[in-house]
Amino acid sequence: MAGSPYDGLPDRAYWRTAVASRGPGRLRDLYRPRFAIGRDTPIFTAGSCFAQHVHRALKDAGFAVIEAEPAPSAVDPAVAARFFYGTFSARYGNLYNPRQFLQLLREAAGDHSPAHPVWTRDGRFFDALRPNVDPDGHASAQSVLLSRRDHLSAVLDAVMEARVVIFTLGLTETWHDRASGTVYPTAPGVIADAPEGSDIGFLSLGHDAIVSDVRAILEMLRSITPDIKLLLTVAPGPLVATASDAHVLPASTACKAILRAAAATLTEADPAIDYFPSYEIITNPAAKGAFFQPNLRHPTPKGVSVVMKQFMGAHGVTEALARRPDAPPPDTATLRPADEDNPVICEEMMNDPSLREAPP
Amino acid sequence: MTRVLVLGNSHAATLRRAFPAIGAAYPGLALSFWGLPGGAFAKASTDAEGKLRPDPTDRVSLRKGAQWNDQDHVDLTAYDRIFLVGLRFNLHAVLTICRALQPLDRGPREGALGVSDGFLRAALRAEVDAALNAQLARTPLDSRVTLMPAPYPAARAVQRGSDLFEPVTAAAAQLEDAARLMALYEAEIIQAAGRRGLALALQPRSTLARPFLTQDSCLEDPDRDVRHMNADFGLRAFDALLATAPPSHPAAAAAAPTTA
Repeated sequence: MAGSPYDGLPDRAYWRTAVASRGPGRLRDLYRPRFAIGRDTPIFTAGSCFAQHVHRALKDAGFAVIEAEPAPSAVDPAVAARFFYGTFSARYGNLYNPRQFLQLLREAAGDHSPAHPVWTRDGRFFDALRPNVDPDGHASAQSVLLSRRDHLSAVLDAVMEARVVIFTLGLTETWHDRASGTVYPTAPGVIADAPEGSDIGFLSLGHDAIVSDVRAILEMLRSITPDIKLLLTVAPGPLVATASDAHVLPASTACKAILRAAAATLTEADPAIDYFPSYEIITNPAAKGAFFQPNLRHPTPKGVSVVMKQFMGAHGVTEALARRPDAPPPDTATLRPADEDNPVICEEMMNDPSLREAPP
Repeated sequence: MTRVLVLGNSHAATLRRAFPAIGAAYPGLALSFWGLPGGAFAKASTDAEGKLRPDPTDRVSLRKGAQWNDQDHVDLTAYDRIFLVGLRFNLHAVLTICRALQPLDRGPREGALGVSDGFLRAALRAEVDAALNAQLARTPLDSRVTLMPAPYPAARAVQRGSDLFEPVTAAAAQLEDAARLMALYEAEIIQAAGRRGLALALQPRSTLARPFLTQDSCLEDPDRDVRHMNADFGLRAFDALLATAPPSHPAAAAAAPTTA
């Protein structure tokens, strides 16, 4: 009798042996990198809130994470982090979708001028493209524009240095200026208000749009560094809120499914794109939700630690670090995930009015 | 008689030297002083009964305490008002930040990182809070207390300098926006005190030569020391402390306008 194609496969191919019978933190052979990322590989990080965990963990583990806008040394680190210094490779804040990222790259390259770049609230002025990097805003619109000019220069520096870009796909829902297509990370009214007369509307990015935007990003990156690599992840947390008129649960499922499917489409077609399954590690049924905090959205420190250990292990980082004569062997169990002292900053939280901080 | 304690380090001692003049000007006050040099005062702490003592493990503190005071401790519960003088509020770090960061609403500045004014304020607030928290951890303070920061160094520090903070002060004083930066810093120290239910009196404006610098005429020993002020300064500082009403409520104090 002829066997089935499912016969005789390795353990990783069967749910029973690969997932159900293993603890959620003990998944094996989950991720086989398409390209090597070494401790000396210049890494550019960007994406949604979860990407902050990635940046921090890589930095702590001794990877060459690019920080073109580092925290000023004179300033208390907690203050600097709250203003997104040293949180990503530059201070662009959370880039929840690839259209935001693409728009940023085009603007840094001088190919795009965003519409309505300055929003306001209570006499303060906010960078509409990254309103939460200066949570109290600026004293003037001119200050916003000068700061943005400096920021774009830093973005360009960071991109030119990068050999690997790690981008975490977070959301499909976004807000855009209907006339120009400029996208914004927050809706009007969440942190600041759009100028009078502007026409900012809801936009839901589908699979094809995500794929197209990521390909355009890669094309831009390749124009600077032809052999650049792109590592995609999908943020595991569900939506805080949806403006789609759907229930937030199916809206979350649709969002993550679109992002995950887009990542699959992209990796299948381009060997320079890889996917790291952080989404699956946090959400897999064997974890029984244990990798989520009580709000069922934020990953627990343990969950983040498991994710990053998988990543480090796949890239042989423990071994690489241990070989450094000037560094002690890393203890991956103590990888510093976000906790109460090092929170990730996520303006998406403010889409739920009950989660917004009371004004000072 | 209102029992007033002047408390603190060598800058509080400036007020001590003014006690004869203060006593004459305010005969209704019963004045007391207790202090230690800066390093020793920074190690002194208060026990559960409200008695402030030098660090018992530090021989220098104990020796200086005996030299400076009649008693080896001071009972903080025995006073109606306490003027705690000479805190630095991490001034060195504050001035370093002022030089390193430039709020972009004032335009860019060569050599400084352009930031939002909100970031600059947050950075200053963190330094001020850290300094005040450290003081409060050693000695809990209540609404009887009015703080006064250490005076800014004298203007001649710009020329003389030292290996301490004067060079940084001098450099900050020379910034085009020095007055505005000093106002931001002083607003932060007033608000930090207010958030903790404490009043804060700023260095009298009449003693300033320019932002971050005191008039040379206020110095006790101009030839040797650009930091410590004379009895006349002490009297003016006491006037300012006495005139500063305790905050009725922490929130009200935090929201109060500043003189900056």
